[in-house]
Amino acid sequence: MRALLNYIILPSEVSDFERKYLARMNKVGLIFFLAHLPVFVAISHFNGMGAWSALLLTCAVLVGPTFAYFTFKSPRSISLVFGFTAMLMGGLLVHFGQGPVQIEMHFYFFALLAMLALYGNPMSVVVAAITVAIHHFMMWLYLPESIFNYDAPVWVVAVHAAFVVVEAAASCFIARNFFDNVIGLEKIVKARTEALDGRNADMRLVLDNVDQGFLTIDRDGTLSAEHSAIVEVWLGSISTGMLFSEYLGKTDASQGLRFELGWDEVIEDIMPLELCLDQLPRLIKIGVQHFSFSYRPIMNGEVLDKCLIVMTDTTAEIERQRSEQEQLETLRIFDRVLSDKAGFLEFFRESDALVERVVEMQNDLRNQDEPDFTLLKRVVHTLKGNSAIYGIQTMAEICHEMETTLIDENAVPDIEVLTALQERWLQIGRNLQALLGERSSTTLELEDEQFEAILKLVLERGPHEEIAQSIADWKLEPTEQRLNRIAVQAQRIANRLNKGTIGVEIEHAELSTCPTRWGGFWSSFVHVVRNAVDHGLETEDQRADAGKSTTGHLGLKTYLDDGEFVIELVDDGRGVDWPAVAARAKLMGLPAETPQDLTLALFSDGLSTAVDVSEVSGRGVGMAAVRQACEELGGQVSIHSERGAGTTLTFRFPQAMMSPNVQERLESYRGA
Amino acid sequence: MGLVQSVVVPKTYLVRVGFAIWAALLLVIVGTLMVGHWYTLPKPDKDDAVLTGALADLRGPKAVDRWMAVHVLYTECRCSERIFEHLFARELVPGLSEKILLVGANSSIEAQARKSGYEVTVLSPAALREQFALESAPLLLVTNPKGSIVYSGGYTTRKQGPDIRDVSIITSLMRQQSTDELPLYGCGTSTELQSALDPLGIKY
Repeated sequence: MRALLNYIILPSEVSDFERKYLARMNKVGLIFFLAHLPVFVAISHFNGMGAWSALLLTCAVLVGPTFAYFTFKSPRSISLVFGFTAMLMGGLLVHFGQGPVQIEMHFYFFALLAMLALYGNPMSVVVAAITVAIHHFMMWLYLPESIFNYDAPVWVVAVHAAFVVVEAAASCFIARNFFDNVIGLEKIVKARTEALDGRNADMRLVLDNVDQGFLTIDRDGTLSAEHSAIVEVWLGSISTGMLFSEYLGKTDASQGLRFELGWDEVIEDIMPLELCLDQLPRLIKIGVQHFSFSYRPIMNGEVLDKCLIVMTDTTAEIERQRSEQEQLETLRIFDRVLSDKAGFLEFFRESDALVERVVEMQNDLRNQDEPDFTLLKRVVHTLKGNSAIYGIQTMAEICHEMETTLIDENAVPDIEVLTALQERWLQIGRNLQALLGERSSTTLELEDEQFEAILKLVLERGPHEEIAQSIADWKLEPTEQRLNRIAVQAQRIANRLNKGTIGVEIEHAELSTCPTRWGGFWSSFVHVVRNAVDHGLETEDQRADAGKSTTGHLGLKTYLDDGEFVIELVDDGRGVDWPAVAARAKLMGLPAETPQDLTLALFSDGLSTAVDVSEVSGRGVGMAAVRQACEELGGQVSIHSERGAGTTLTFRFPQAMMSPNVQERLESYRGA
Repeated sequence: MGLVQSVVVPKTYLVRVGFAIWAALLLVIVGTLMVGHWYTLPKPDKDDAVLTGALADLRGPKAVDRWMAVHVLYTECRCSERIFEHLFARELVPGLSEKILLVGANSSIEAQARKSGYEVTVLSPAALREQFALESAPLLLVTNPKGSIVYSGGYTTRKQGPDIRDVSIITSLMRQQSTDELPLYGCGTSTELQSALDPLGIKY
């Protein structure tokens, strides 16, 4: 019985879909019943039953459904009233439709019982059936003959009733199925949607609580709606239908453009997919955070359908790597200090001056309307090169980033980059201070020979002027020392560039220079050494193929020649590719007709025949920087190179530029 | 505090009560309408002395020793109207005296009946009951030549059925063939019967 009631009585919850459906059906039902009025009046009139009685009786019946329609809140209640109304209308029709077809008018009841199933509520049918039953019961109570007319026996009446019961039962079945499977479809969908939502919520819980962001794009590069919440925290809000290139471009325009171009290649399907995906942006820096992207294709057969992008916050990893790198650099600095303290201090002092210049120049350039970055490029390039040679990779990387902005974007690097440069350099300075204490900047170290020589001079009561001169010479830097350091640097560069062991011959002629005056030049001189190793010397295999010894050689010389101080760099490498220089010079609009033109072009800004730009060379800045440093000391540079036979770079300076004369130096100390 | 307290009747309660009244009222009204249609009217008793006597009087000298059919028809009854139309459309049955007891005055029907060859007796519903002990119409009464009532019933097998069988019934009886008496559907002519069939006074 309970099951029967549960079948007939619908669940109390009325879904939005059912509410809308019943609202529509109730409207149709009301119109249907209202349409009975003229029909009944007409039938009654033509049957001689009186139009007015039909009008009054039909209106009396219509009062109920009309009132229910406009006042009842529950659409199901309205349909119940309509079920009751349907039977009343049937009674009126039988009454007004008296005549030969009066029995046929009874079909109305059966038709309406079936039609009530459209409400999807078995109770509407039950109400109608109960109305009919009550009607017959009342008639039987009042006048039994009215039920058993034609002198019908009980079984005939039972058959009559059975039709109503069977049809009502069938209509209830149809109504309930209609409710469960059509009206209730929304509930089924809702239940399944909720189940899916639950699973999605679980998945989202996972997605939103991992350290990675997940998002997908379709073939057009359009972002799907589903993505990890953390992605929007990292890269900002995502709009519907947004392209990933646009989204990325909001944070980093160049990376957005790079993705757009790269994704076009992915879709064109000309190059191998993995290769194309490798070309897409993989790293991005937002403020102090670093992120990496990985791309996982989702294939539909052989065709790329979508792509899963996994975004990872690598800040901690980068910081860890940076920390490790800094520690490694610190160890390297210790190593260099232990092996060549003076050389490293010299590098530090020179680089310190370069950092200071970089900061000053950048600040000046920011205030200029049309800034000229030439000098800044050279300084940054020199700082980068020297840092790289001394193994301070972090400084080299920061300089490289600044250089990229200066050359590629022709803009002043961001203040954050400048700050990073300063902070890193200060940290290096602090590390050095911790290692050497105050001695790092004030200690003067003597060779045994120097110590013995001055001691002997004092014991022998030599002239004061001579003693003073000897002591003053301690501040001069023997070129041997410089050349030795450069030789070591050249070997390091060769190792880094996989050029193997190289031989470096040094001829110094026991000359010395003023370290403060020549610091800038020697710093820049590293550029030509790097070029000689990188572009001049061939690899061992190339040298063997060229019939040369597998070991490349450099020659570093300082000597005096005809009143000039000469610094010479000789290599036995492949020589300058003059045609390439000429071609490049022409592209840059430089004269390229005579050897002098080509020499000038070679030492001009931006000229490089290198294919790749590295932290070592390739941007065409170093040669211009060294020429500038040479000219600042009143010198001139010349080059002699034969294809396949090597290159000789000669820097010639007035001898007087080597150091201030003795009197000047002594006077400076007297005044101090 | 006043002595009179206002009673607030919930709106929903009023609506429910209103609907209950509406439903019950309409159920009764429509039910009574149906009763009027489907109630099988009482047939007169063939041995009723009042009826037999009244029929003998109605017979008259011309119809002695003849079969006689009496059509009791009510001018206010739609069922009777169909019988009128049927009678006016058919020929009189040969060898039969056909009379119409016209309950209620209707000169048009009366004139048309006479024109069609029927002998018409006009009387009121009260007179019908008083003189003939009849209170429903349409009713077919057939007497044999001896004056006995051999048929007392309706014209059709079902309520207002299209097949009006008076001719076949009469001819069968005249051939001494037995025939079933059809149920009597139609209208009550007496006030008592009308009140019973239509207690709300809608139909009558």
